[in-house]
Amino acid sequence: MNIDQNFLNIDPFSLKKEDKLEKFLNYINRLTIHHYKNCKIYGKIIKNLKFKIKKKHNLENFPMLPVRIFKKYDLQSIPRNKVVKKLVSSGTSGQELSKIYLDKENARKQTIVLKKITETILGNQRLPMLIIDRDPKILDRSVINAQLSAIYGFSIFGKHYCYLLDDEGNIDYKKLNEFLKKYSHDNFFIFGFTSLVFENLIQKLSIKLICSNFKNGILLHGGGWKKLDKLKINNDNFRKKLFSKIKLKKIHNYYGLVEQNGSIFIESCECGYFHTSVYSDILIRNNNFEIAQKREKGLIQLFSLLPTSYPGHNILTEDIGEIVGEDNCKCGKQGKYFLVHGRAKEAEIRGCSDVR
Amino acid sequence: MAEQKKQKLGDVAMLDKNKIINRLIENRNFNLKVFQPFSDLVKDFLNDFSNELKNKRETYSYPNLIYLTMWASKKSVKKLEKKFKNNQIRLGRGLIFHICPSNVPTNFIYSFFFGLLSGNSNIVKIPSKKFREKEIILLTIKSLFKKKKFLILKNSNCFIEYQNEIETTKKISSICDGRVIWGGDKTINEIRKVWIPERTMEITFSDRYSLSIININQLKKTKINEIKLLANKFFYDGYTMNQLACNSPHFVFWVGKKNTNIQNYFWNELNKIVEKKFVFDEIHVVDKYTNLIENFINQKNFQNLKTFKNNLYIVDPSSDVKKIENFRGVSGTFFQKNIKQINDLKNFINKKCQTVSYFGFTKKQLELFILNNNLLGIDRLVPIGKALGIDIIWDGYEVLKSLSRTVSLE
Repeated sequence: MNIDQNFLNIDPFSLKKEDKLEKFLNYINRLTIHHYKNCKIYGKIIKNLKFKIKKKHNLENFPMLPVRIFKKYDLQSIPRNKVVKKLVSSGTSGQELSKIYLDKENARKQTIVLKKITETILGNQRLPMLIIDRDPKILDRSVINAQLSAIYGFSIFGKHYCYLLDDEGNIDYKKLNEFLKKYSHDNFFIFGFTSLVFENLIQKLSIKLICSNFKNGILLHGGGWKKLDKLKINNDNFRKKLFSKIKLKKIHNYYGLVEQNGSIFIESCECGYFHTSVYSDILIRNNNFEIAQKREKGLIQLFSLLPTSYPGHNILTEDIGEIVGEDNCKCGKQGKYFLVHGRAKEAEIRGCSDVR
Repeated sequence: MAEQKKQKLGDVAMLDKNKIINRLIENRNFNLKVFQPFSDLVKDFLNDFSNELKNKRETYSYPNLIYLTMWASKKSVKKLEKKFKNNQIRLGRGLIFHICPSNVPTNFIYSFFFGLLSGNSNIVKIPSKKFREKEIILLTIKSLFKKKKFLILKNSNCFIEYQNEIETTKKISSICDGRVIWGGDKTINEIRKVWIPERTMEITFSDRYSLSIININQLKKTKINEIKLLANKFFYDGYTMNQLACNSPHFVFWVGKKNTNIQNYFWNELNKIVEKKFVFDEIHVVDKYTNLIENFINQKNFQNLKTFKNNLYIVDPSSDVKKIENFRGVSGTFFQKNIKQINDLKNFINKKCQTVSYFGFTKKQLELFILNNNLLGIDRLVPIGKALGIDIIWDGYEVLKSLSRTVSLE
């Protein structure tokens, strides 16, 4: 199962609906058949949903997998000996983790597509990279969690890596100043998790102790707003605070699932919305799973053309979002543009089966 | 001995200062006391509780609180007393330690009432999760405890909240005369490892499975209006607790000659009620869909799946259903199967089965079914619509008798 090279080579934000849809549908259809044939569990689900695999379908009629399934079951569409990498979600302790099995080909495609998408904000040259985290120094890379996977994944766009935090989690001003002295006169790349960026760059960093500002920095951050919701920090004041404190302007939030690594959604500075690429798509569903209108909030369903070694191409998330528009965003990117409003809230009644 | 116990109970109060447990109702003078079952004081307390709760406007937003007001009312307690049929000399055992699930809002109050009605002093570990129902109940009890006539009850009962620190569980377990545990198998096994005194009585209410049976022949004879009513009752049983209570039905057995029309008519009516009355939020539908997919993975291929939007999923499992307790729905997913006669139900019943809610059977038919089939499961049969009720006979125990002791006098 392969996406043809031409499709991989086009600009990820260049296709309008009419140019993308037919091809995209064709790939989703092929992926569905591929996983149906090669992943036993997926095949069983499709059969039980009474989905007619040979018929033609609209995008919204393809069967979606709820994201939690990847936590409870090992879903693979390749023989075990072909697995080269296992990704796990970074969830907090006690939670079950998603497990994603990659073969060489799938891992390669993730890298290519991540590069295509990220290049649109970083350019195609490697930039000096400041990472808002500790140096993970982990040798075994065959099993990696989402946090590490993101750092490693994005590190291919950087060089002269500098980790902001020391082993105790404090800001290492000496290293930071060395980095800024050398590289801050030109574009440099900053990567980190939203909550860590907030904690360190907005809250902890002392302006007095740094030798330069961050006006040439390009920040890419992701991982969700859950921790910041409590502090009533939203995207807007996050950006304002970064600008007023360290003159950082180019700030891009990204959104994506560990189950769909590679085909991430990046927020444009100009509009503040996430955008689908040619490799991905989004649908919003109401509580009856009907397709929601534009600007109507609902559950986010995500498509990706990349997953071939595991059936992650069509996933119902537990996030709430809304589609703002399609093919007419002021930032010039084609495709759907949307907002994410966080996780659906936990239900109240939980039965008598558990005392915890 | 009594003096020693009092001191130990004082220790429990001490825990408060170390912030290990949060005592929800102040009482510094814990004083163990036992009564006869159904003592006037306790009946008076339950009746006042019911009235006080009825006077709160908020009560009427929660079906489980409305039910609670009825359960604790004078009339209903009188019925319970009659059911208790005591012709022996009985007294409470002493101090009962209730460990209640942290995730159901009203279960703890029934466990407490069981302890009270059987004549005991009680320490009740209440759910740590935030539930408005829980708060309303505790406020009600707090205000009753302020009344002078209930001072004795105030001083012999205690509501506590703590994360599951084993030390606290150990401390209370070591001084109790009865321990009541509600919970999943894992939790029960963990708590059971904690020592209790030699003579202490223990009751465990573990995870159970419930189902419904409908007599097709009777349903055919039933007027349309009454089928609607039946669907409404089934809705109450199936949806009020999102199918997460032990007594919520998951499986419907249609008994008699298969009649697809009438079966579908029933589901259609149910769907209409759900559409009108049940508000799904996003997490409900995600949970429901995830549960369905998990069932697909865990079970043999299903024969059929019928969905009424996300309101209602009806699943026909493969012909051989083993381990019925694994066929579980969430927020309105029901499995169905046709059987020719009620005795065929025995092939599906095991120890896990608790409540069977029924329609169209006489008590005599059901009694014969239970007595003639050497069943290991089914502790309770109630008409559809009453599945979620709570009785003093529960999971096969006569709870009030287990929590009291008999004195023989010749």
